[in-house]
Amino acid sequence: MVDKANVLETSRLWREVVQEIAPQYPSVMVDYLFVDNAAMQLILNPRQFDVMLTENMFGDILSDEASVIAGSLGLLPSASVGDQVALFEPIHGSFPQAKGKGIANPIATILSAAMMLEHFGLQAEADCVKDAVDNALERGVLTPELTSGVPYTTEQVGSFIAYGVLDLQDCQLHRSNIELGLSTII
Amino acid sequence: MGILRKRIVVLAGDGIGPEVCQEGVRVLKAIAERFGHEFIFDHQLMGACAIDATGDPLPEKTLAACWQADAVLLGAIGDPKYDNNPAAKVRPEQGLLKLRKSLGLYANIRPVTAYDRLIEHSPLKKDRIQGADMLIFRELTGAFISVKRVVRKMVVLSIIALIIGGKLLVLRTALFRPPKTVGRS
Repeated sequence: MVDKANVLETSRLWREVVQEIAPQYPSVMVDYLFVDNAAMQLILNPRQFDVMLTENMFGDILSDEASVIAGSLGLLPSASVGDQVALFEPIHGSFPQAKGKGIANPIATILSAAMMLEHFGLQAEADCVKDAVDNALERGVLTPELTSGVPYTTEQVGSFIAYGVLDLQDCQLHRSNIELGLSTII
Repeated sequence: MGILRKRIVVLAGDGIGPEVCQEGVRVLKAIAERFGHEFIFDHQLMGACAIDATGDPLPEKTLAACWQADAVLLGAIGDPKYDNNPAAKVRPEQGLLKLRKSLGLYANIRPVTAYDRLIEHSPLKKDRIQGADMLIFRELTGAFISVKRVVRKMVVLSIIALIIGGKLLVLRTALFRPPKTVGRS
């Protein structure tokens, strides 16, 4: 729980609610951190965090800070949930300079789709997408910002992952086709 | 899990949004094919492209489609011609804010993982970030100063319920690589 309870009344409300509920879930270990310290801890020792719970503005700032850990904004998905329809989106912006050049990394969007599958209760399907993404990363099927070697285009990365979803074992086989621009998945 | 039929609204948006959404949809189609589900994709306008076409960053038609959907996949919105014009009254981002409000989206969830294969791409030292793997839950209503305390408390409760009411476990298994794969590469 990240807040600024020594200064903000809203933060004290958060603590009040968290303290009220926490005892019902003994397996969840709750810790409280002031946001200034949390910003520092996130860089000093990010492994200490499993879940960070925070209010809108702190979350806005800390989640961008945390994105540095992943190495590229192009990898990070997000879900916005309410009581009914949920929305899934990559955390990156519209990057207008890159429009139409085929250099945008589609992985953040693809992982957002995996979060959607999870939201539907489709665990195996979500795992399947993540495995295919892992496979693409492992095999160096990457857009330009992540590789000094020969980069793949947005569409090639997406196609490779889609092939991986259909049959991970066959992925390597299909890679040569994708390189030749013979991808048939539409 | 049996065969599912889901309606997904795709808001490709602006800039690279359409390109990355195309790949997201491609992967969802592959999942549907492999697992026998039926996903119906409904492409709608939001953002600068919607302003250009209709004058409204979130046209009624788009909003209505979202209400009918099981989920929404969004690419990205925003265009320099609005960013560089502070006087513009109608802006792409208004569409997203209105959509969040209309759909009552109160929590934003972001998983952050340090991928071994890409660890050199982070400006942070490898030994500090290796194995980092977290979920950031962020309250999204942003109206905490003005609304009544009881409403605020309900929002806080909803988010916490979302986290510890089982969702956490599900999300963790879903979004993160299982521990055995950490350090694989």
